[in-house]
Amino acid sequence: MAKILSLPSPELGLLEALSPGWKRLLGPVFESIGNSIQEIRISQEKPIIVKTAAGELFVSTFGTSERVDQAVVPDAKMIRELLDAVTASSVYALQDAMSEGFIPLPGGHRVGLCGQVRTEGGKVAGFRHITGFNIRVNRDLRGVSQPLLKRLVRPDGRIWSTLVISPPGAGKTTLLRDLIRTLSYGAPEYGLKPHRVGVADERGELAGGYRGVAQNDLGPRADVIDLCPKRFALAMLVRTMGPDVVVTDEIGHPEDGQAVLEAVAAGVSLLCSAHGGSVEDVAKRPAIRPLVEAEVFQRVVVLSARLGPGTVERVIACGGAP
Amino acid sequence: MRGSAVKLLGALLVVAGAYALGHIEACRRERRVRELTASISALTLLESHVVYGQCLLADALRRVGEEHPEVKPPFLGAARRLEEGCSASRAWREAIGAWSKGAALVDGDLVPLVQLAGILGLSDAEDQARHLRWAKSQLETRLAAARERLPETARLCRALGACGGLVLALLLY
Repeated sequence: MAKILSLPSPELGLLEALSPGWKRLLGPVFESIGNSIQEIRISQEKPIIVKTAAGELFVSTFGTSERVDQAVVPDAKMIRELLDAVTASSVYALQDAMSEGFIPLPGGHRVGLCGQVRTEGGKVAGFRHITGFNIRVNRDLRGVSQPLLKRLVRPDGRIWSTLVISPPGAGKTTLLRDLIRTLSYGAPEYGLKPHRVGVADERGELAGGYRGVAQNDLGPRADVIDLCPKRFALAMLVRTMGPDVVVTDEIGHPEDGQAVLEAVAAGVSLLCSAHGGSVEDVAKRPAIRPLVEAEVFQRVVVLSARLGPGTVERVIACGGAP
Repeated sequence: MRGSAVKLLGALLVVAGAYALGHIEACRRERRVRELTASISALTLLESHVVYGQCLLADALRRVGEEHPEVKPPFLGAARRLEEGCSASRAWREAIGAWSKGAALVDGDLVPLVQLAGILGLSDAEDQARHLRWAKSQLETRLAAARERLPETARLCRALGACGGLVLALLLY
């Protein structure tokens, strides 16, 4: 059980994306606990909450507080101002991402949205009223995959197909991102050859894409298709980019599993993640079961937040691999 | 003799001054037509950048301002305010307000533009297009009326200036 290496990362670009009023309010928070902020939850007529690895705090007019009665409660005007700022007054340019429930920010940060949704033909077309935000701070932690590499590298210098499992917020995406970078650069000290990596980044969280440009360093050999359904992105990557390994985050729908199977059939290795507390739970899921039955994965990494996000609970060899 | 010459010179100056005033007013009306034409053209380009180009609003406004010198101040001004962190609504309202002081447009011409303040950038592309087209249609109606009356009113302004000057000169003489 190794604790993944954790390095502080500055919140580049996040404060810059906010309006002057919100900068004044959140500036002291970032000054005092900026390095440990994971999320900032902002809802109309509710206290603003900052989530850190150590717990939750309320945002007050002078920074943070543990007392809810000192918390700032945003009104409709503040919410509109924040929406205006995070969309750069360009809602029309963010329609696709907003219909997926988030807004990308420069620096790879993400703002999750809540409110009243507008549907068309049974699908989410966007938001009619936005009343809640979850600002998720992008932490591009380098080196977090190093303790695992020994177990994930094949004798021929390629990577075993690996599934990363954890509950939400335990570091799956961060680990996958660092694995992509490491594969892309190669790690001769671990016998890992440089790989051409195809990244199907449906939610834009691996590359942290902002207007098509990856905000996170994924190395020189990573090709990213972002904000595209996995089934299309994986097929496009395999067909056109000739990857050695394809990577995708959060397999949840059966059609995602099918797309992964088709990619693997083309002879590429696979790195992906799934929400879940245990291997047994995840293996029962309709999207994952066919992959387990087909013995697609040779390694399963189980993460938790027991000792902080990124705690490696187990690395399991499977699919007949040593 | 000398007094008469001064009087004549004064009368000529009065007539010339009055004619100049009429001419300035005629030019202002001609400029209004040019500004209305440029505004319509600018809104068409803005629609294109917003709906098809999916540019961020500040970029879209800047590009439009650079393409249309007649309406450069409000578009570039709003783009600059947006980049300073101002809301789109406030940036546009302030930019139009500042421009209106030196523009030839009349209050009624500015209404469709000002009404875009609560709209620009705040909804999906289809809605943006709908509002921009509505504003354009309002301006086109006003442009058609202004253009139709322009030759007559421009001539009238100059003639009224000259005649008014003559009448004033005669009265003073």
